[in-house]
Amino acid sequence: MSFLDGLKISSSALAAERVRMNVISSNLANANTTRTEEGGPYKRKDVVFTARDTGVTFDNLMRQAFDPNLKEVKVDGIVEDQKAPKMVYNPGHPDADKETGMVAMPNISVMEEMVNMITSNRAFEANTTALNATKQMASTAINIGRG
Amino acid sequence: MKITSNQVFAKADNVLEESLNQRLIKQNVITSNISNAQTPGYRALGYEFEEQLRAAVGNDGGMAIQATDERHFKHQGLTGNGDLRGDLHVKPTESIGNDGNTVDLDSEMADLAWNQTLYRATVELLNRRLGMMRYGINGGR
Repeated sequence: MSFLDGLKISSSALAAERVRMNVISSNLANANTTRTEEGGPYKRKDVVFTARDTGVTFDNLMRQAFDPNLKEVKVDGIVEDQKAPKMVYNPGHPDADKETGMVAMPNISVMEEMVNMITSNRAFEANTTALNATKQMASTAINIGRG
Repeated sequence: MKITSNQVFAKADNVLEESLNQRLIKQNVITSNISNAQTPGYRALGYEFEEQLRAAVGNDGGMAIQATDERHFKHQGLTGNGDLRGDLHVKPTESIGNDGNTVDLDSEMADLAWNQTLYRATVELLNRRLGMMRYGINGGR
């Protein structure tokens, strides 16, 4: 158990939150995208987090046999939201249905994305605080005996 | 004359050193909780070591295990080698959201700040003791 473990855990969370932020940006940017390579409107993406034992070295595995099972965060994957696209009446749109005038818009709620963005932001801040706390403890320890 | 570390460093130094080790473990446990505040199904962990530390030191400030025979191995009490095991447990809190995650971010942040403060306080105590020792080594100059 060292300072590095704590720093690694915090940085794994920072990296995960950054991925989430990128996905949210992608969702917001594509809130009105009606054409994609796969065809059809853009589909909302979401990030799945999973808890993983810190480190996978032999040394770590040995220590974990006795030590607490601390978990770092790993991005398990980015999944597509399977909600149906929003149907909007807009006959003038180039992708509108010729007969009904309905356009299939991405299944994105801007409000929802904004809320997720704030949550992600706060989580990032919390982890930065934890990282700084650990860092400060380490620098305090360096000063042992220098009084 | 051979001088052992036990003659130089008092019991209090070992307690302080072990306390620092334990605070670091606690710090990492809290960090793990904060990192996984958004992970579905993660159960918040808690770590307590104060009771174990107190038991290892003994109520009278002496060592918990005493040799009653010359040939017995001498138990050194706390050696500061990380042989003290605190109590790691899953916190018995209910899930706040509906994703099975039991991390209460606010209380974890408070614990983090408190743990950090106590760590610094312990280092300060250790420094004061080392300062006294230096004072002695320098002959009070």
